[in-house]
Order: sequence, then structure tokens, then C-alpha cells
Amino acid sequence: MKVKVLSRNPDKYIRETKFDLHKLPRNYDPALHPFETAREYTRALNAVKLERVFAKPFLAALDGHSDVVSCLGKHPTQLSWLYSGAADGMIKIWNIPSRKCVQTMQAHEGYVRGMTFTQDPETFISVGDDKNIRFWSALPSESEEPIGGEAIPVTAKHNIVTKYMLASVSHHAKKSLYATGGDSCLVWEAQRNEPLHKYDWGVDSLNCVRFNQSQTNVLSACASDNSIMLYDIRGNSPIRKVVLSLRANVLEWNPMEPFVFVVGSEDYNCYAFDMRRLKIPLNIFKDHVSAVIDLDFNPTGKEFVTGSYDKTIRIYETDKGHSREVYHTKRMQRLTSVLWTKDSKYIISGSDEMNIRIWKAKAWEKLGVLKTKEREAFNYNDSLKEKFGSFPQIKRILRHRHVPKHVYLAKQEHRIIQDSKQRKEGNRRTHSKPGAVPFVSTRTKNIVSEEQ
Amino acid sequence: MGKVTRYFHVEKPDKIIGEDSSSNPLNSQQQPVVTIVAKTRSKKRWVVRNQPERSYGQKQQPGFVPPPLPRDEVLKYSRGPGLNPNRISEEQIRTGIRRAKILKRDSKVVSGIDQARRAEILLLEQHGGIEVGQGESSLTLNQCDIVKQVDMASATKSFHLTLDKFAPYKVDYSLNGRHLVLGGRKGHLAAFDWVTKKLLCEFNVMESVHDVKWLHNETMFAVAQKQWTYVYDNQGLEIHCLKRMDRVMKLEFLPYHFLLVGGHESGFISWVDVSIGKIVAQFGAKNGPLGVLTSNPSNAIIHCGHSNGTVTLWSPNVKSSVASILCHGSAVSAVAVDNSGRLMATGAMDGRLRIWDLRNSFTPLTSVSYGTPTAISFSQKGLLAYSCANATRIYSEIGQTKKPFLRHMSHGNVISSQFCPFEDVLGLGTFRGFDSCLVPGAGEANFDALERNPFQTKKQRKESEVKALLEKIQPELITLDNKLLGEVDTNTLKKDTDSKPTHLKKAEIELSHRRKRKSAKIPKAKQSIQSELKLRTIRETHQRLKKSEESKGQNLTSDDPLNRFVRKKKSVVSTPVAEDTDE
Repeated sequence: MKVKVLSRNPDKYIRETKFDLHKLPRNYDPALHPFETAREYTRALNAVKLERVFAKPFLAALDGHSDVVSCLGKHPTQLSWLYSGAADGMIKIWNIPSRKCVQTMQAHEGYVRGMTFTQDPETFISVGDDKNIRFWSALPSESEEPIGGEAIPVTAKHNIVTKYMLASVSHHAKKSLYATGGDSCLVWEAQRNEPLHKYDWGVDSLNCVRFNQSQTNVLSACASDNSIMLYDIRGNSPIRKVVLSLRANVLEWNPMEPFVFVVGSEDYNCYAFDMRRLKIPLNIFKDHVSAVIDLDFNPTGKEFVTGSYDKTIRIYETDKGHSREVYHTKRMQRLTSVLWTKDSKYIISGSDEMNIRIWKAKAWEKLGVLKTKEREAFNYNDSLKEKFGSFPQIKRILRHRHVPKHVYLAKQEHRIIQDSKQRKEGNRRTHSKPGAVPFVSTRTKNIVSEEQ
Repeated sequence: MGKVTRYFHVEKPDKIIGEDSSSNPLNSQQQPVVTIVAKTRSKKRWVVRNQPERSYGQKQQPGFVPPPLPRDEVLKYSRGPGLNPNRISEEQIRTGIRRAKILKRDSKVVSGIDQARRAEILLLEQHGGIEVGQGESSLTLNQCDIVKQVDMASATKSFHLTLDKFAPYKVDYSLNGRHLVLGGRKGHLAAFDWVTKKLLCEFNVMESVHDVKWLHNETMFAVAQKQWTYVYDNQGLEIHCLKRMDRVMKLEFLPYHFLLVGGHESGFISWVDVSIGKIVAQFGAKNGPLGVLTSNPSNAIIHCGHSNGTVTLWSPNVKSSVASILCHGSAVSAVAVDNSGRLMATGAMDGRLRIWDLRNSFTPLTSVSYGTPTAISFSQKGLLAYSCANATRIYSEIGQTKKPFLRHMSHGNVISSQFCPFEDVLGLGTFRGFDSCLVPGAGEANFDALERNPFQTKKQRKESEVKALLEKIQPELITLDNKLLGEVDTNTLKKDTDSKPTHLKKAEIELSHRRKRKSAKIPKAKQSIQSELKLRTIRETHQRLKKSEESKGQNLTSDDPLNRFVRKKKSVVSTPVAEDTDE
């Protein structure tokens, strides 16, 4: 008979010197890991609680403008430069890491309406209420340090005096073309004094024009007659138009899905459209309680940020109907512009009370270099949150956000209005001939018509 | 080929010209004729490749495919059947993207199971065991024989402590199997590292000790004394006196819930959260003193044995017992539940030991009788130690065999036994002291250092304590079915959809629970037979009654003198059914 008894050699289990790592043999046999689900659930609960504890999104406020911040611009290749225009015609260049203004220039008289970068990343274009298009050097000269925020006379590289109203500007991705919105949609070639094309579709004014950065010849615009128009700059006339029930304030193309764009509307919602099929929006993004003023995409194309007239910033995921995050502070007033930085980590907002604010895109994210173990722990926590996210207790903690009172009350009011509308429709349906009051999907409710 | 195959497919000629010539190196330059035909790109659904063909983890050499694993080997790690991609219909998951996502997630689980199995290659130790030749029996082996055959380090693990004065002794091993605490009925307490035989503390509490139990690590142990339950640290210092746990006869500790469970002399069970020092629940079992109590390691349910032969199951969330099993005709003397939570062993005063299947049916599997069991315990690998008087018999695969494979005789009668975790050792507390005996194949050979580590340092112990406290499972999660948390909560979903206002369109979700039991319907064939039988009995009784009436009428004529003794008949009261039962 042979007898074998378990006998462990301690040398296999104990480290030799104290400079070695501890030996940690693993055995993944489920019998050695009882209560697997319950323990994971507890870990998930801890993870969501920690997420809420560490959710401190506000990083800094850039103070310096002496009027409403009207537009923001991001450098196409440099992460640290930020460009901002104000209602008094000032343009400021900021260094984000040092949180300082490095240059100030008096760009226009009256509002700076928009700015965009040319193909050459050293030049940007600004348009203003004074009907001028100006070309600027994007690199601040180091010698000119502003003292007391006063404008140092910096002259524009080039100036075009036009006879048109200019409300917005957007540059072509590959050619030296740019489009402006205003009375009509105009396409300009670099530094030429007259526009190349002029597109009209019986509209009085366009408040936003945007070039598609992937399908480079496609141009879109939001008009004051509640319509969104698509142009192909190779042709002479606009190609398509969709009319909403209320005006779209802003339009942005998805950087990763060239067919998709999102508009921020006056009816508090955002709509995602497929350029090829404008009849039904891909998605509706609800949650704001006032008009959406500006929006910008995350470079990943999976999320976008909106700034609204209700004094909050919201972050939406493109495949969900409601926001995942809401940012607000006591001092922040109506949002005029928002920006998602190119490293997808930060959000920058400009608002009515002359401040520019920097936020984290993920409120609970730890900034700086992460150690491997830290990163692993964060990844593990993320997957736990995903796995147990639908459990009521975890969902409640994950979803909970504090919102200002006016938003909270407005939300309640809107819910009452919505409910009563639905109830009324339901009652009407039950008391009329079957089929007389058809079900209309929420997506199509706000689409008035599509024109070719 | 990769991408190319999506747009083109290679048409091979029926007879490959190069095939014959390939053996001839001179002709090898001659290329086989291959025609490439452009294919219209068909709308392809998401294709799920066969699982064994996938490669995982590190980048393998191109073309390397790990060999598929036998199904029964992987089954150990399986958490239930996954999705069958062929059976997911388009109605269930409407969009292709969503479908692909779900399948991807499922394939991750599958590959995780596979990797876990493949990681077995890294395990350091092999299990112990006895190899029996033909015509031999392992029952003839005693401790001396075993000790002779094993190495010196293991031989030191078989020892006997003669402690006559304060006996009998209760024993408890710490969770990582490194430390041991002994509690003598007459007040003697000793805690030590039993491998190195280094004493931690030894003292006498000067009152009777009923049970001892290590808490979550080897720094603290709880002692059920005559009046109250005390918590001592490993230096023997009294840290707490739990006055709510008075006259406790048996202690249990649930390490993942941090719950100390006590069975009171008054018949109460109490759960104390030792991390916050609060009583979580305290219920009266109303069935006499609770000296027989154990916990189910897989779902943290408490099993209590009673003097009327029942075993009741208790959770801190339900005021009454969750289940009650009539196990024996006489008082239950010992209860044990195995690590997987599938088997329960009960012993009673009638001298029987019964094994029960706990999974669904609560039916007895086997019954053995050698004498009244005073202590029963299961090892990590499922061995069962059954002690009666001074004999301890050890069974393997108790469900299938009735014969023990090892026997050990102690000096005194055994009152408590426990297998040491992660060691092939059985500890026996007796009326003469303590016996530590070698049982080959009892312990888990490969521990998981992040779960329980016998070689842990002080710092590791501290870290693991913090982790364990963070992961403390709330007592509300203790349920009889410990998989409940991972299942779909259809009840709440149904309530939500039902409570929606009538004017809203409701989603059509089929809310049938996967494991819902069907109502016991009698098959139609049986039903017809039963009704026929009923009809027949009714008819028969009816005829019988008629006959009896007729016969009565025939036998007794009106002028018979005995007629006056016959009771005057009013009506036939007895129902046919009653008539039937009388016969």
C-alpha cells in the first residue's frame, strides 16, 4: 500500500529575500471561492459608492473676459491652447496647463460670432458682427505678455470686409475653403474677397454652418425657419432639408460616423440624424429643461456634451436617450459654448458670466499617471458597474445627481405636462373609432417635413 | 487570406495540377492554376466561430490553435450553460449590433472558463491519497503505519496531546488551517500554531467552556462560556464580552458575512455581526437546547439538530425556520454539511448516520449505523469523519459506498472533530485530550493565496482583513438558494409593467421564469380512468344498497313476531362514499 500525504515545501511559498515579491499561488476552482455573486455584488456596490465620492468634475475657471464668452475654439494639433471670443470683440488665447491667458486681441467690433482653424494649424479665422472675416496667427508671440488683461494691438494676418451678416464659420477639412452662415450660406476660398458660392433656399438667416470633416464636400446648416439643410459644395444648389417643429441652434457632425450629425434644438432636446434618411431621427436626447445652445462631440464619437440655457452642462452617450452626467455650479450662468478637448479628457465651457470653466469628462476619474494596479482596479470596478448596473440599489446610486432647484422643479413640471398630454391622447384614442387616433412615435413627433 | 476572403473566393480546380508535381522539386515552380472570381458582397450576419478554434491571451504563432479541452474538465469551472448562438432568434435580439455584443460577452465568459482550466498547469501541489493494491484494505492502516510511510515534515503532523485534567476538548482550526484553539470543558483554553507547535496563549477561564471558534483570522477567537460568550485575542486578552449571547452551547462563524452564530441553551439562535458588534437577528427555535448546530459553507444557512429528530434550517432574515427535515426517529446528535452545500450528514441517538441530498429533494441517500455519532465533519475534498465513542471512521464518496476507508481509535471518547483546511489532517477533541491524525487526501492541495493563505505574513494578513471587511456580505443576502442574486427578477419587472397607466403602450415581454415549476396536472388518460373508477364505485354501491333493501323486504314479512325489533326506516342516510369506506 502506498500512502501519499500533502506536504508543502515552504520555500515554494515564502519569498527568499525581503526585496522579492510575495509569492501568491492562485487556484481558480469555484469551490475555493464561495459566495461569488454576493461578493461581487458587494464590490460593485462599493465601486459605485466610491465613484460618487470621487465625482469632483470642476477643475478650474479661466477668468479674464470682460463680456459674455461667445465662442470657443480648440487647436487642431496642440492640446494646451484654447481660443475664446467674447461679445465685446475680444479674442483671448489661453494656456490650459498654466491656466493663464497668453494673448488678448481686439478682433472685432461687437460679437465674435465664430472661429475655425484652417488647414494650416497656425492660422485661425474669426467672424464677427462687424461683417469682417479675419485671419489670425494661432501661436501667441512669447514676448507679448498681457498686463492686466488689456488688449495689446495685434494685427490680423488678413482681413476681409464683406457686405454679409456673418453668424458662423466652418473650414473645409482638406481644401482651403471655408463656409459662413448668416443671410445665406456662403463658401469662400482662402483670402479671396468675394465668396465662391452662395446657396439660398428661401431662408432669412442661418445660425450655424458646419463642414463634414470626413465626407469633406458635405456642408450643413441650421436655419431660423426651423430647418436643417444639407449642401454639397460640388453642386450649385442645396440637396436636402428637414424641418423641425422648433429651431435648431447648433449642429455638429459625429467625427467617427460621417453620416451622423446631432442638432441641439430650441425645444430642449437634441436630435441625432442620419444624413441619408432625415425623416426619422436616429435618437432623441432629452433631459435639458431649456434650449440647447451649443454642443460638441467627444473625439471618440460615442459621447457629446451640450451647454444649455438652463445653466447646466450635460453629457450624452450617442446610443442612450438620457444624459449620463450633469454639471453645474452656483455661479455658472447660461451656457454659450462648450467644447470637448481633443484628448477626450476635458470639457471646456464658456458662459454668460464671462468665465471659461474646465471640467473633467469623467467626473470620478483620477488624473495623472496611474500605476498598473490602480488601473487594473479601476478597470475591474468599471466592469463590475456594468455587470451589476441594473440592480436597483446600484442603479439608484449610479443615477443619482444633484441638480439645481430650478432644474428640478422645471423637470417636475415638464413631466406633468408630458403625462397629461399622453393621458389626453390615450383617452382620445379609447373614446374614438379604432385607428382614428394612431400611435405616433416620439421620434417622428417633432419632424415636420423632409424636402429634397 | 484574412480580408480578401470577404470579397473574393478562390475557386480551386477539381484536380490541382501542382499536387502531383509537388513531390518533384524540379516541378515545384509550376504554380497551380487558381482563378479568382469576384463575389458580390452578401449581407453577412455576425458569424460566431466555433469556440475551440479561438486563440486567447498572448499572441500565438500564426496558425497555432490550442487543442480543445474535454468538456468534463471544463465543467468544474462552468457557472451554468451559456448562450447557444444558434438558438438566439432574431425576435429575441432585434439588432445585429446588440446580438453581436451579447455573443461577444458570452464568448468572453467561455474563454474565461477555458483559461481557468488551462491555468491548472500552474498548480504546485498534488492531492494526497492511498493507493491500494489487490487484496489489500486501507482499513488495516493505523496512524503508525501512515507515519512510517510519509516524510518527516508530515510525520510531525500526527500527534497526541494528553490533557486529562480539563477534558473533554472542543477544537477549532483557523480559516487558513495554520492555528488551532482548544477549549476544555473545565475552563482550559489554548491557542497555538499547530504546525510549528508554537503556543500563542494558554489560560484557564475558571468556568465551563462549551465551544470555541476562531473569528475571521488568527488574531481573535470566541469562546462560549458558562454564562456569556467572550472574545479573546491571540494573547489571551479578553476583548469583548457578548452578554446578549448568554448560555451558548454551540458557536459557528460565517467568515464572509462576519457573523458569529450561537445556539443558546434556551433554544434561541443569535447572529452577531462581529465587525460592528450588533445583533443581527435572534430567533427562538422552540425546540429545546441548541447543542447541535452547523453552518452550510455554500449559502451560510444554519442547520440545527433537535431532540425530536428534525433538522431545521435558519436564515437571519426569516423569523421561522426556512425548512424543517425529519431526519431521524430519535434525537439528532450531530450535523455536518459539506463544502459544496450538496450533502448533509446527520447522526442520531438511534445510532444511525444518514446522508441527505440538500440540492432539491431533501432525500436520504445512504444510512450507516455503527453507533451514536458524537461528531461528524466533512473535509474540503469531501471526506467524512464519523466519530462514535472512541472510534472515528473516515469515508470517501459516502453517497456510493457504505464502507469506511480508514479508521482511527482515540484514547478517549471523541466529542468534537474538524478537518484542518489545506492539510491532510483531522483534529479530534476527546475526553483524554487532543488527537491530530493524518488522513491522506482530505485537504485541498492548492490554496488560493488571495482567499486563504497558510503562509501569509503579518502585513498580508492585515491587508486581507481590510479587503474582507470591505467585501462583507450583508446578512440580507443569505438565502437558501444562493444563486438567487444572479437571476432575473421577473416578479418586480412584472409588477412594474402591470402598474403602468392604461393609456401607455406596454412592452410585450414574456415573463416566464426559467425554473418555474409546472402545476401538477394529472394526465388526461389518468383523469379518464379516475372518473371511470369513481362512477363504477358509485354504481356498485347504489346497486348494493338496492339489493340490501330488497333482501330486507324479502326476509321480514309483516306478520313476523321479530318485526317489532326492526328499526323503522326513514331514509337511506349514508352516502355512497361513506359506505365505501366502511367496507
